[in-house]
Amino acid sequence: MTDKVPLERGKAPLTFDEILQEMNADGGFIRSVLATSDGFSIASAPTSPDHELASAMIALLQQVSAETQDNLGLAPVDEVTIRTEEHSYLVCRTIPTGGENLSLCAIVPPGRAYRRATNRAVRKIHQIIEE
Amino acid sequence: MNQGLHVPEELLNQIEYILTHLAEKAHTDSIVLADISGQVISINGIMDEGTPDVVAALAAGDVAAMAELSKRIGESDPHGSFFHEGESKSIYLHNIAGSFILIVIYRAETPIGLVRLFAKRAVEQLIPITEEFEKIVGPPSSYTPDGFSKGITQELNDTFLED
Repeated sequence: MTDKVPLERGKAPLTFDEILQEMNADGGFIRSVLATSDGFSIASAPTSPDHELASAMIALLQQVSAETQDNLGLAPVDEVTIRTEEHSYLVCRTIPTGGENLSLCAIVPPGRAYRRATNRAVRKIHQIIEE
Repeated sequence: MNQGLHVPEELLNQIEYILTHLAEKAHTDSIVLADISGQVISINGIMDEGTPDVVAALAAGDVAAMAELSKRIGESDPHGSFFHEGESKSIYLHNIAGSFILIVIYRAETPIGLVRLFAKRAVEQLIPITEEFEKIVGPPSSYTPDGFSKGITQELNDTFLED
């Protein structure tokens, strides 16, 4: 299948699902979802029955961030983060593609860094889409 | 695979490349590209003999109904897409510039977003081909051969009589 991207030498190519699984393992994330800007799920890890609901919620977040960016004249949004009282995070990275933005979101437990793991995943997702 | 219309090989090769790419990326079961009247142009994936013709004809009816429905609710551009979500298989239909219909059949467990993402890309690549296609075969209303209507009526009758 060509929704696979060759990574570093010796490693098997990946699908969207595998990219999310690898990102979760890298960053110690609880779960992650990749969705279109209008809330359609593309992939999720681990697979969960509510991934469609999660994708729809993420679309709402992306819509709010796009409106905020417009109204305040900000540069394009790269990341939206929600921090809970328990210090875990919902991190949503915006992935601009040719036609529309995608959202890569992860639930990050307290005290974990997330930027590097999500950066790697964003690069791999870009590679698959632009292939 | 070219099924119905006579389409130049070069154009068919471009179409087949786009459909193959879509099938691989979106993990589809089968894809049919038809003209707006429901004549099959190209198929990717496996279907029983006769099935693509019936699928394309029924999809053409659906697309026409949806275009009319869109107009009735005040939508100015009727060239959109719609999904049917089934228990085991789902269908994505896209009216491409009023010339082509992209019919994507995929397993229900395949995420809709995955199909939509890559189908939209395929549609972007197919739009310039619709222009080429119309230069060769004429506008949609002018190239429906007599035999096609009779043939598809027979095919649909056979299908529904079997059921």
